[in-house]
Amino acid sequence: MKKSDFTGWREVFRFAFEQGTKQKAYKGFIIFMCILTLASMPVLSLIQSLSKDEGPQKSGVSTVTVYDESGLNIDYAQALADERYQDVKIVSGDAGKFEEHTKKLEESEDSTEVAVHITYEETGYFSITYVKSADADIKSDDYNLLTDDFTNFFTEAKLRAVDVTEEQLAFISQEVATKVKGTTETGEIAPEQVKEEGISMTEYFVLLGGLMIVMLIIAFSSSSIATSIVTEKSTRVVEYLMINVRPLALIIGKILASLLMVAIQFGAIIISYLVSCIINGLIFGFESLNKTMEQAGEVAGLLSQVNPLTILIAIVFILTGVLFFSILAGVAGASVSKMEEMAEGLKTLNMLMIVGSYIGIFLCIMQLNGSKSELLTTIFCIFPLSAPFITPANLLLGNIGIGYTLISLVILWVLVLALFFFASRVYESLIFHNGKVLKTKDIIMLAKTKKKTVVKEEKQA
Amino acid sequence: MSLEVRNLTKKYGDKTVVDNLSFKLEKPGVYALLGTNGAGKTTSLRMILGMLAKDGGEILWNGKPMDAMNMNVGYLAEERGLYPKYELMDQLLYFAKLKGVSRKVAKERIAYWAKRLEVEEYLYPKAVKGKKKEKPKMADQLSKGNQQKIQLMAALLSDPELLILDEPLSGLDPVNTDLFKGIIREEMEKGKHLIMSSHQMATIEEFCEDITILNRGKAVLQGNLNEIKKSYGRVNMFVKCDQAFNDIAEKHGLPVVTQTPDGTQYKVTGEAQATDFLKDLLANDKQVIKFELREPSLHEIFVEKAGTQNEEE
Repeated sequence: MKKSDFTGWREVFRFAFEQGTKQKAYKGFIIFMCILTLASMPVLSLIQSLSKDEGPQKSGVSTVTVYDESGLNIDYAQALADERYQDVKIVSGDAGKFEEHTKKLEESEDSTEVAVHITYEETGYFSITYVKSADADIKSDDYNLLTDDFTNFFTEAKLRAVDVTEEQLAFISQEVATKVKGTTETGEIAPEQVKEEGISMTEYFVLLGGLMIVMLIIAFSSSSIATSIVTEKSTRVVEYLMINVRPLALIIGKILASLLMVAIQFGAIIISYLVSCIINGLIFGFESLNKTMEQAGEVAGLLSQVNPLTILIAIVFILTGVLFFSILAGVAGASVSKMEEMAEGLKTLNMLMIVGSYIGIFLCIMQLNGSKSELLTTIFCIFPLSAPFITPANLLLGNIGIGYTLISLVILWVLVLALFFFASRVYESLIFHNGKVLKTKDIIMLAKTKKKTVVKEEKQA
Repeated sequence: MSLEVRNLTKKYGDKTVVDNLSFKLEKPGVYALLGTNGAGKTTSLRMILGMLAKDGGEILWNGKPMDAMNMNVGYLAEERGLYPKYELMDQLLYFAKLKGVSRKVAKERIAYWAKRLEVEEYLYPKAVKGKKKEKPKMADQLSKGNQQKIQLMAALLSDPELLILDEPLSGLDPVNTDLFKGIIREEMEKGKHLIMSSHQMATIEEFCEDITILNRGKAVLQGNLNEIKKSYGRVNMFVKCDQAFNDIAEKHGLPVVTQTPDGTQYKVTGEAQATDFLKDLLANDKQVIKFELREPSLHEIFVEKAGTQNEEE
């Protein structure tokens, strides 16, 4: 690679950026996203205030008839104490009439009644049966909530029925923790195997959100670079460009332009969000804004490793990932001669992106479950295909250390440089290739042929 | 200023597409690179322009290795191309910028060439009173000929010292062909060096002093066009008589090359054979309407050289 290989990248960058931002699709997308973001906070507040006006949602159940054959003396009047059940009537059913009531419910339509049958089975357990009509006018959410609340009430009530005090009840209601230990070969008790804890839902969403953002950046950047190269090839503009610009300068200019375009999109969305918060504050008061800021703070609190260094590493990591996939997109785009064959030419690239992002999503789920997540996090954060999607967010959340991140970054850079040398070797031939879409093995063969020629030239020299 | 190409070679795998091509363009003017389709003309031009890496040989500009990126070269590619969905003015300014031409100078030159090539209406949308201003034109809204004019403008914007024109006149109507020819002539008068590839032999004869005919990557004929023609001698004889004269031609062993209502063309071994034949015609009281003896045309030389080589292979 020579210095002249990069001559003209500035002009390419400027033109690609100017033309890219002039496109209706680009402007339309920014406007659409900004409007959506601007509207988001006031609309959310409006929905919240509307639902507050309505008060707590009332249960759709009108009557609960309890047939208690458990033998316990329980007062069910307070079984459904929550505000949502204030209109629900609790009635005691006559003993032995449950079957009859059930039949009556089966025949009825649009009923809002529920029958509850509580028994103590001889095999040694309490049984609660809930029945509603098949055609009942009760939402499943209302029904499920009611059965859960009633069961919880019964669980506590049966303990109270045997004269358990509030204190004892609180004590025996504690969760049960189990420790399973084994012995070593020498007969000593082996150290306890600590069960790995999963990440919180907020962390999960931060990771997933980060992955989606990086995936969007990479997908946008790669597709715009590939499209631009295929356009230049299919329209033969590339012939004119190649006199003044080397292929590498051409691809670098395009990559940087698309990066800037993506950055502008995100910048516009962030500014729109801030404006949206201010509008929301002006309309609904700044209390709701404070609540939003508290929520933001909660997320920020998770980012335990955040400091200027980790932010810098994360940004460099994302850019390196974009560079990696953009070079691949450049090579893939150059292997295509016609616009209509672009989808076929980008098959491998899309496959790699899907594999990388799916590994990322898989890791997020595993981290949430907590099973073997530390090992998996380290492996997948180093694996070059998935690393750009997950490593930056994992670094900021403190799930992976700076050391491993740097190792991963070095591996990615080695791969980027190798890919860059590979691209510089084949790009010239690819850019003038005119014919069917070249497959990956054809491109590798091309690089090998080129290498032999270079070695031969060096020997001759 | 001079351009020298020495033993230029290009291979794709085991196939040699340009084989030891050498030629020199010592003084301003147009050098013709001729050949059948796939002869290696465009590949040679691309190597001269530095677009393609050469597998052997040298390209010298003023005695030094030529680097097209660091000199002022204009190029009109055989396969024309413009961005279909970008404004023409933006594209021309971009191409000029790549050549290091400032925006101000580029705009002045665009204005000049737009007028000269009669494409002002596409580059400068008119504002009609009371109507919405027309949108600037995109390349895909132009005819093929007009796109070609925009591309020629792109090649000329940097006022290049070396202008490479790959099939500049193909696909143009007679009016635009004359327009392009006029510009080529202007560039020659300015003392520019031009390399032109074309299939239109009459155009080459009109502009070029020196030629190279390529066949399957090899130069099969090279040199000054007049000297090449002279070397063939005046072997083309055109005859038209009122009466039939085939028997006399057969007696002299003259093979018919073409027969048209305008006369019959024969290939003769030299002036002596033609003179004998004319004498015989007159001796047999044939009314000779037309008798012409001349050197072969470039078209004939080309067909002979390129065609024979193809047949041999």
